[in-house]
Amino acid sequence: MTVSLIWHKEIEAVPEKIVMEALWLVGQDTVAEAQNLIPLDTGTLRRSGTVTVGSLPDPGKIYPQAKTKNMRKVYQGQVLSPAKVVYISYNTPYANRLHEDMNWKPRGWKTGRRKGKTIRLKKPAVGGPKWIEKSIPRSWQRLPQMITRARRKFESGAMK
Amino acid sequence: MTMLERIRETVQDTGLDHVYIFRAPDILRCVTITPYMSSPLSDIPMSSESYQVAVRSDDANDARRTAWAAFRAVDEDREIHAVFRQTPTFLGLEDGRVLYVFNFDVIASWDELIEESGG
Repeated sequence: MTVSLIWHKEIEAVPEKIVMEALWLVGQDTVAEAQNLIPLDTGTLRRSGTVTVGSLPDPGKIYPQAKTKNMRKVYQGQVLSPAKVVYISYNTPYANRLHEDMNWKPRGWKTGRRKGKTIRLKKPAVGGPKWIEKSIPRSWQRLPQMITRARRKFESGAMK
Repeated sequence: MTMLERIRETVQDTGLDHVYIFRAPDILRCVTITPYMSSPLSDIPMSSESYQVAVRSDDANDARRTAWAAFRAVDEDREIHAVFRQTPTFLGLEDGRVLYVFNFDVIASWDELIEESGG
């Protein structure tokens, strides 16, 4: 048997700040990729997805805001600690359970109501578990493009 | 024996009974193995397969002990070569039963996933 190994040697030469920016972009891409895989009811879970550098965000702060606001880029440009780590997180009390419980099934069709109108409409319950793990492989393949984007950002002076 | 059956056998060999694939019947204690993701490796007919082992029990200590026994069994099986995503983790209550899970990846040939390997 022959096993091929791909070693991105060129990445060794990439400055650390560009790598961290590229990883943040991969995180953002993962959140975008995952969007349609996430269970949907009110949309809070989908809006609570964040990408942070250094450490995880405070879910107690994110959750209330996510009820009305997309939190995806809220931490853009912020470094929460010196640790060279990028986190993708969903910040609701039920996110962990919905992500990990393979036995969970979306409810069937449910009746919803459009805000401010009396029309009742059917909306599908969609999504399922493991939305982050399912999205990361596709986004991870885009790392070289993200490095190019990050490099361009630094070169154009958009970032210091 | 497929990889999925191999994992079930490994867990069962530790003395655990009620080990199911996909299903989680409504009994006091059960172990469920679920494959949930498959990523093909480039160039070779092999995949990285992701599995979840979930333990449900009406007793919290029993659920934790059972989950760790299953975890150790998979870890010690040198033919599986599991790469763990986490150790057994409490996930919450489900219809009054305590739920513990852990996830792991296995590199497997396509033959191991679909048909008997003759072993």
